[in-house]
Amino acid sequence: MAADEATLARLMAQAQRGDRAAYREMLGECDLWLRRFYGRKAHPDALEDLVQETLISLHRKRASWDSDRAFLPWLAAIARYRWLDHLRRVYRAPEAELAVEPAVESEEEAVGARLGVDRLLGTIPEAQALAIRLTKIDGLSVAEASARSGQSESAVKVNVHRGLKRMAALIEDEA
Amino acid sequence: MTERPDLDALADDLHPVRPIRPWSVAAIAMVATMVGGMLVIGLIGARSAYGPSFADPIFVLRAGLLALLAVACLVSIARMARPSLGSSHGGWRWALAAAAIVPLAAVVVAIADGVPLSERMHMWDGMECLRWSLGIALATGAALTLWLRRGAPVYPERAGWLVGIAAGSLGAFAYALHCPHDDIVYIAIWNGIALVAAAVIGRLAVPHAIRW
Repeated sequence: MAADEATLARLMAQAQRGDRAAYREMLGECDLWLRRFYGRKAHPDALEDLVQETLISLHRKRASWDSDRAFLPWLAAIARYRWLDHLRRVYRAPEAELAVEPAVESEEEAVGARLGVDRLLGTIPEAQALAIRLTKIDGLSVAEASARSGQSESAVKVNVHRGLKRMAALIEDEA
Repeated sequence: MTERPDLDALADDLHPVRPIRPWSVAAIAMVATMVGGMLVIGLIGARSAYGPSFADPIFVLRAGLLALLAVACLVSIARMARPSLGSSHGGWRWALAAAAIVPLAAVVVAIADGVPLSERMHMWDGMECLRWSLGIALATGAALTLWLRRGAPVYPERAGWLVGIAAGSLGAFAYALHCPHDDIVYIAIWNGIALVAAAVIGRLAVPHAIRW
């Protein structure tokens, strides 16, 4: 059973006071949560690095969480920031089949849908989202993405650039 | 609990942290502005020493708008340091729109009364305004940037603009304690240059310092 918001918030508050056992438990829960959160929006080869980078960011920026505020929206903002940073750095991921998304419980599914990167991708025009999905997540080259999407190669590049820029301005948006 | 050396290492590295408190950025800005204001008054004198009063309506409006703009930007900066989905920090846009009334009014006044711009510029005083406003803004902006580095801003470029505008507003506010000019055209030109310069410096310098 995955930890809920209240449990994670309690563990984080203890961690901020220096409780290592609580922090270790929270990291384990966040590790699982992040794997579900990124779901199919990270290439399997990149998922491990992405989760690691996000956990390190959580560690370094733990003072930026306030116990008066919800924990998961804070973690989701950090995860979205890391994901976009990751997409900007990855020009072409190695070819591989996407992993099957692990089964999740309905409550977590709902949280993931509300906070996740899917929602962020949904805020930008479909052509931009498709170009990003093909080149940055599925690992296709620009030429392959062009053939697959019907967009010209220059349109793919422009759509990736504009889409990433637009999403970077919407990291904290819930819409 | 599953064995995970990477998570164990992070847990071993844990030490207590004090959560970032929004009011601390206000305290930093207030101290920086007070020190700047005291330097201005101590080294080049208060405006009241030259005749113009602190109760002059143009001075009150000028200082009030600069303070309002700074406060609005500081609120947004404080929210940015603690990211969260659903967090909103767009209030500074309204304050900037309110401050934009000054240059608009200056254009109307300049056209209506027909006094040549060269007679209203007071270059020597204007350059002094720039030096002081930007000097205080740089120190204030550096302090705000150091504070923001503890946080996790997810919009580094926007944060850069806001730090620049906040610091520029406070620098111009501190210098206004000395400035003997109450001509709205003069104020719009020199405060406008100081604010735009501080905002551009913030946009160029701050994102590199706060990116994480």
